[in-house]
Amino acid sequence: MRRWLDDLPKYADDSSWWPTGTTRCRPEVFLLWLGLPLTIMAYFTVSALLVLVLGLNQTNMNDYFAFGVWIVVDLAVIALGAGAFFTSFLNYIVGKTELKPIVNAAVLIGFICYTGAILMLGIDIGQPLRGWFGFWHANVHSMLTEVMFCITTYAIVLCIEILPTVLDNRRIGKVPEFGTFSHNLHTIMIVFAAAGTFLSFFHQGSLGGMFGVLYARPFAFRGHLGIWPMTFFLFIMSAIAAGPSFTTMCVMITEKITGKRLTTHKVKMLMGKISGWLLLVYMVAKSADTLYWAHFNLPAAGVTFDSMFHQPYGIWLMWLELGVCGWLPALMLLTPRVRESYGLMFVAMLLTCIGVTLNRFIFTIQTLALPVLPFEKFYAYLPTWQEWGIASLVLGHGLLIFMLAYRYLPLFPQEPELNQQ
Amino acid sequence: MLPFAFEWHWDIGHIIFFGLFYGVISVVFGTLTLTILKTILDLWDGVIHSPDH
Amino acid sequence: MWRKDQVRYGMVIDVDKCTGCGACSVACMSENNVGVLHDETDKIKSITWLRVYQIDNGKPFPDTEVAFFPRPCMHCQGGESGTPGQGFFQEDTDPDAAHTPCVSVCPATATDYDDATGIVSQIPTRCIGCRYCVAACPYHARYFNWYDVPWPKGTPRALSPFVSPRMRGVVEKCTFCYPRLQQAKNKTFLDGSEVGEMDYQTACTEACPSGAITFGQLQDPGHKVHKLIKTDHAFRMLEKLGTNPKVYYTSKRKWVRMLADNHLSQAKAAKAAASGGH
Repeated sequence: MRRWLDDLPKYADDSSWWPTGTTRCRPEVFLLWLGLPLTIMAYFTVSALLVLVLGLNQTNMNDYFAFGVWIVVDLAVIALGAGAFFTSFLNYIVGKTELKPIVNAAVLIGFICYTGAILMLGIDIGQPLRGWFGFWHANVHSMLTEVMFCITTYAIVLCIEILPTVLDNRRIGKVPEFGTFSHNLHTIMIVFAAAGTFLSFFHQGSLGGMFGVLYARPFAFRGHLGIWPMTFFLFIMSAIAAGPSFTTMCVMITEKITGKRLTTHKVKMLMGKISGWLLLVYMVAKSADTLYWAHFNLPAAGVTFDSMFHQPYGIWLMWLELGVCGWLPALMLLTPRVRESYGLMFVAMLLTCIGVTLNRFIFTIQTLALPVLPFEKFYAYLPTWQEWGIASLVLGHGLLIFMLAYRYLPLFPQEPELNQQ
Repeated sequence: MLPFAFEWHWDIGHIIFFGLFYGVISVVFGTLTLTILKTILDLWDGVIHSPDH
Repeated sequence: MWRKDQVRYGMVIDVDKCTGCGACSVACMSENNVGVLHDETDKIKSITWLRVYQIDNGKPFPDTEVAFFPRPCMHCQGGESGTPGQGFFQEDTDPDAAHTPCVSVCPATATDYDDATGIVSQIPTRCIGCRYCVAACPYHARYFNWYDVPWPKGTPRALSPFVSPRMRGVVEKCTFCYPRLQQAKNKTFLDGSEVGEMDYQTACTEACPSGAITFGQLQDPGHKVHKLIKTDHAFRMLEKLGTNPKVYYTSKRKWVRMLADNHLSQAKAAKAAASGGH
């Protein structure tokens, strides 16, 4: 027994699995770190069991708030995960190979976001066992049908896109079958990047359309050209503006925690610049859309702009979304001096991500909070602890996958070069 | 999803929607199958790749 | 203009006759096997296909006036419509241009607009419980089963055999007592006649003690509803949104008619009152 214990460090030594030319923390320290995502996953598991066994009455959703925090988190992570398809698109199709050092991480983050969203949606629907009805009995006129088809198909594409990175693990790649398969996948990756771009464009747009078509909900509804292409492109643009920011932020946080340089600052600056320009275009379009909505759509429904805002969902939310988390980060990211500074760029990217999350929150919660019947009451909504537990799934399984991937997979090709002793 | 389901109509909406869907599915799985076939052929010919090279 | 095989069932509710007794709600629950939950006071999680809203004119005593809005599913058609009072119920001649708010959004085709009757159906066994339709309906006519109904021992034997009770996790709503139409059709099939006005009446219509609810075919000149929707006092809820509902209301009181929709002047007046009456 003693001998076995003495030999334990030898058994636990996983350094031969680490990416070539890199060092990682000791196995026991890594195990300790794993405690964090596992704790979150345990919280999720308890909440999920309660909701699946006892039903959606475990939540604070009701017939007025048909959607709650889960849909907000779903929409937000799908927007933030857009970095995967857009970075792949720029790298493989446009030919911006400067982004190659970050594309693996972007795809992994996309994979985390989409799988998390799909798992949560499976719990969100009242009859999870009937989830396949949406495919089998598809109503092709529903935006939600398109979203279901596209996110499921795109999740499959993401699994394929992430596969070469897994197979490129130092030990796995030595197996001739895996190494050769991975090599061949790399050479054909442009096809998957194209399929991913196509699918993402559609479902990011449909998610916007999902609210734009609610013509009996004046807060969300946009008329004529306001629905197509406007709501579609607003959601696509906000997603591809926030996606690269979120990917870069995740890399920066990993750098701070591990104390290593993972990509050059030039790559991050390029991601920041892409985010900045897209956010600027988005903000121009979004501001125009908001003005048109306030001056034409709302009066047509017999309601005023002021009546759209009740505390706690006051007008401050709109200024926060469009001003502090919209125009401000757009202008910051377009300033070269901000991008050169590690800290300031991080702040700008964080604001961008908060902005897109707020946008999804406002479209989901505020749309439902506002009573349309003049004599209806106004309700506010706060999630229960079970709802938070399920919403934290993305964080828990995201951390778990990212930590394992960082330790064992060659996510960052520049890492060995940048950290030479 | 399939023409056997009773809510299926042979209208423009269904043709576009499912045309695109089955198109993408075919491209993705077709490419994956081709890649697997090419890998088998490569290994047959003794062409082996590994990430370190 | 109208195909012979197409009819449009609709309802007219006289708000001035409604006393708010709730008999319609009770009849509806009994007819359609709507269960009673452990906590029925939690109205935003319980199910009332036909809810009776109490409204008032907002004036202090002694000028206070109260009215009631019974609210079933409006069976909206959407699209271009005729105005109330203009003639009979009209709907967009282009079926692709018009869509019911809830039907068009359902991913699993669990709710449908029946072209033959104009009734918006709900198929609970098809519903996946995504609640997108609940979000789409401005009338709050759609209800999600947050709980399993705790049927007390023996009560399932008293349920109507014509309507299947729903399970937890699906959406349900008023169907204009559709099984009654099926029964009427069965009867007329046997004796070779057509479904007449009195052959098919909803449970709420029959239960209303003051006769405030009238039900029938909107575009059939022989039916009472056809005449009622032409009167000057007929109106629909949230007319401006373009949902083109088939439930009409009548009231001689202007403030009642005003409360059925959002009006810019009303909103501005409320704002002015809130900011000190400027």
